[in-house]
Amino acid sequence: MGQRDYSKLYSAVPIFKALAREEVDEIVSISKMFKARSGHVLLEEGKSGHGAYIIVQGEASIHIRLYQGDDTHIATLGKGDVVGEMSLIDDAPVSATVTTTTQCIVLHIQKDKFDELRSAFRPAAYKLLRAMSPMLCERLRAINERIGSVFKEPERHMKLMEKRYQHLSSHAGAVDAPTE
Amino acid sequence: MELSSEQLLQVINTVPIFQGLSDREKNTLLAIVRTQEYLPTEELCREGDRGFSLFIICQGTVSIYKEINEDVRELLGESGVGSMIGQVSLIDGKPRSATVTAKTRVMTLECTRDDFERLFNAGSPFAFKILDQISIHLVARIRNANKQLYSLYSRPTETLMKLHALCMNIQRSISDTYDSIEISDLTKDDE
Repeated sequence: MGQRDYSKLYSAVPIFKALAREEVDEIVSISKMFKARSGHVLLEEGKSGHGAYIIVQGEASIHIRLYQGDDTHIATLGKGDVVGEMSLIDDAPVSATVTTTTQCIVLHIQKDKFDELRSAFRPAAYKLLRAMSPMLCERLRAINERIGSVFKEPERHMKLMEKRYQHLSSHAGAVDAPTE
Repeated sequence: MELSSEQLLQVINTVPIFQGLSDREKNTLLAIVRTQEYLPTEELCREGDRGFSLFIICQGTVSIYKEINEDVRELLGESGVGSMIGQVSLIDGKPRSATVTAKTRVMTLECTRDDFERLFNAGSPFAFKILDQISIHLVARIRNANKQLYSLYSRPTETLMKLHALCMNIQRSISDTYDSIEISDLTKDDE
């Protein structure tokens, strides 16, 4: 790449808007841009994470596994959305499966190199973390709201749980998933 | 209770998130944050309020509640020394997502959103460390909430029992209200 087109980069990766040009350079130097066909698994639940993936073009979808093979669709992702950012923060396994649903262009920020920037207290790494943290808050609020809705509409959810109960009792030996 | 700066330094030295900060960083911190004491049952913040400070618990234990309706609140958990309250509002500036009350006598350090902003933009390692802690904590909470959601749907018997208990509680509080209306109506008639 010769002269970098920052305005293009800023509009393709909105999260970079929190960073100055030199800081963008720093993050780009630890990232890889790649094309993915539709159906490509970017992240797999339970596997270890390798960094954040930013959808530059195309769409992807997030699923989580429930007990006994049921999958729940959590969200659809489009241009500018970020997944896998939790793996930049801790080392726990990936918490959901993310699959591309169209052909995509993806920017991958590599975890091991990001960790180096972070432990050197590089402002670029922290500005990026800062820019990503509202997304984490958003995610937490959304999950909590979903948990809260179960208790705010107890009657509706009792019916739903009865259905889950019947589903599980016809598929599993024990109805409830074991506690860890 | 007003603490001297040496006493404060002693307190924060026992709080894990301040470990690893240099003395200079600790002094910067103490120059900007505010200490506050709470008595048992006193509220640090209430769900829905627009207050964007971060509280760091230096002494005591707090209880965290989700408001279900006016009469029913569900205890989400308790937090002790070293934990932070209000990270989410500090980051996204949205109203508080839970009510937090003092369970015992509690002492907190309070860092406002502006303070944090200023420190962060100045490239202060303290602000970076706080952000580190906030991020780690947020991610842990997301993973935990995910687990809770997973078990609500994957352990329907248990969920049904909880919902049943909740319905009983709501019914009880409704009939309590009904009783009190009847009583006040009767008194009115007497007048």
